[in-house]
Amino acid sequence: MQSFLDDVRRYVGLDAEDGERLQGLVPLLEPHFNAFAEHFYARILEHPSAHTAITGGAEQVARLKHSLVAWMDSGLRGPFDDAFYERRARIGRRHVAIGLPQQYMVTAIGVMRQDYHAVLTDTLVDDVPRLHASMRAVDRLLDLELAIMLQTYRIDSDDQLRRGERLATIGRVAATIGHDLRNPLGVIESSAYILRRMLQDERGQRHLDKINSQVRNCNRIVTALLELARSRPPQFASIDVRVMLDASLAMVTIPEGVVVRIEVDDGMQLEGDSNLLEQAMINLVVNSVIALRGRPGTIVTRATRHDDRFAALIVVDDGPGFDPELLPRVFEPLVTSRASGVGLGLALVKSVADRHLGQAIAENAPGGGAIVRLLLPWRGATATVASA
Amino acid sequence: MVPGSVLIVDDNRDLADNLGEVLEDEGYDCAIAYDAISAIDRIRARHFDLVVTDLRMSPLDGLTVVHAARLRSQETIVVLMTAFAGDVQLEAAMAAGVAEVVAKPIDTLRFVEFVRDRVAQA
Repeated sequence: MQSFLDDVRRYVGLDAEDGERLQGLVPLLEPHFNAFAEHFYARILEHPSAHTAITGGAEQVARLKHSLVAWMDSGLRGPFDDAFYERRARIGRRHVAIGLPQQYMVTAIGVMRQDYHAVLTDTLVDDVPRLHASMRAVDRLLDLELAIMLQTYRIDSDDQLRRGERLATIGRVAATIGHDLRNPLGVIESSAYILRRMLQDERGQRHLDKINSQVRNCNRIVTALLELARSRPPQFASIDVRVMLDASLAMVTIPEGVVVRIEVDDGMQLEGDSNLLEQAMINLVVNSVIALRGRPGTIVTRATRHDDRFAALIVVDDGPGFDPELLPRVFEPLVTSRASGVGLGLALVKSVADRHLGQAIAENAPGGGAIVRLLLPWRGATATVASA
Repeated sequence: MVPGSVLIVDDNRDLADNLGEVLEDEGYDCAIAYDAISAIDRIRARHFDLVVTDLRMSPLDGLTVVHAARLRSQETIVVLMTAFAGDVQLEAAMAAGVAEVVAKPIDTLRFVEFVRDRVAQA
C-alpha cells in the first residue's frame, strides 16, 4: 500500500517539511481536539440520516469522539507509513459497512478543515508566513486523509457489488440443485417408509431411523439453500423466543460432551420471521458444533436486549474462534475455513439479518471462541419495514 | 371393499412407483403414469377418485393433467405436487380446480393420511 500512499502524498504535495510543520502544530491544536470532536459529531447528529449510521446511542458517540481525537493526533504526528494508511483505510471500509454515502466523508473533512483553520488563524495571526505554511500543510494532510478514505471506500463498495452478484449467481445455482435434490430425497424417504413396514427387527429399524434423520438433514440444507436463493421478504409475527430457540436446537444433532444452554431475558418479546430466524440459529449452532471438532465444549444461545434499537440473538461457543484472516469476510458466501463446508451458513445468517433490517456481527471472544450476534430492530420502534 | 381409486403422475419414476406402492398397501386401487400424455390417456379411459400429479414435467406439464381430470369429472379430487413453492403457475392451478398443492419433499406418512382424509370425504 506504500506505493498508493506515496503516490497520493506526491500528488497532494505533502512533503517532509510539511510533516515536520504538522508535528510542530500538535501543541497548538491538541488542546482543541475535544472541542473539534464535539463540533464534528454535533454536525453529524443534526443530520436526519445520521441515525441510520450511528446506532449505538451516546455510548457509541463517545467512543467515536475518542477515536476521532486519536485520528487527529496520529494525522499531525505521522509518520505516513503503512500503519497510518491502514488506520485510514479502516475508516473508509467502516463507512461502506454501515452504508454511509461517500459525500459525507467529503463534508466531514470540510468540517475538520474549517476548525483547524479557525484555530490556526486565531493563534498564528501575528506570524502570517507561518500561518500560511501551516494552513497549506493541514490542507495537504486532510487531502491525503480524504484520498485514502475514498480509495478504500471505492475498493470496498466494488467488492460489495461483486459480492452481491456472486450471491445472486450462487442463488440461482443453489435453487436448481435444491430442487433437483428434493425428488431423490423424496424417493429415499418413501422407500424407507415402505421398508419400515416390512422390516420388523430392531437393527433394521435403527438403520431406518438413521436414514430418516439424514434425509431430514439433507432437507434442512436444501431449505437453507432455497431460502438463501429466494431471499423472500420476512413474514413478521410475534415470536416466543424460547420456543424458537428450542425448535432450532431440535434440528441439530448435538454430539456427546457438548453442552448447549439457552438463555432468554425475562419478558423478552421479539417480532420477526420465526422460520427465517430458526434457519439462521440452526446454521449458527451447526457451525459451533463443527468448530468444536468432537471435543467437549459449551454452546450458548442467548436472546437479549442489545440496546434501545436492537434485540440480539447470540450464539457463543468455546471453540477455536474464527480465523482472524477470514473474520472480516465470514458473512460472504463461499468464505469458509472448513475443508468440508461450502460457506453458505453465515451468508444465510447475514441475509436473514438484512431482511429484518438488522445486522450480523461476528467476533472472537477475548478468551477464545466465536461469538455471532444477530441484531434485530425492535419492531414498533420502526413503523414500516420495506420488503428486502 | 377398495377405499378408492388413485392415479399418481410423476416423471420421477421411482417416486411415482413408491407413492403407488404405499397407497396399494393401504388398499387403494392405484394407477401410475410417468408423463402427462399417458396420464391423460388413463384419465380418459376410466374414473379416478383422486389424481395426484407433479407440476413440472415435459413435454406437457401437470396443469394439462389437471384440465383433463376436470373435464372428465367434477368429482375427481386433483392434487398438485411441486418442489417449487413459489411457483407462478400455482395460481393458474388453483383456478383450474386443484384441491390442494402439496410441497415436495413429501412426508410419506402425512401423504397417506392426507389421501385417507380426502378420499373418505369424496
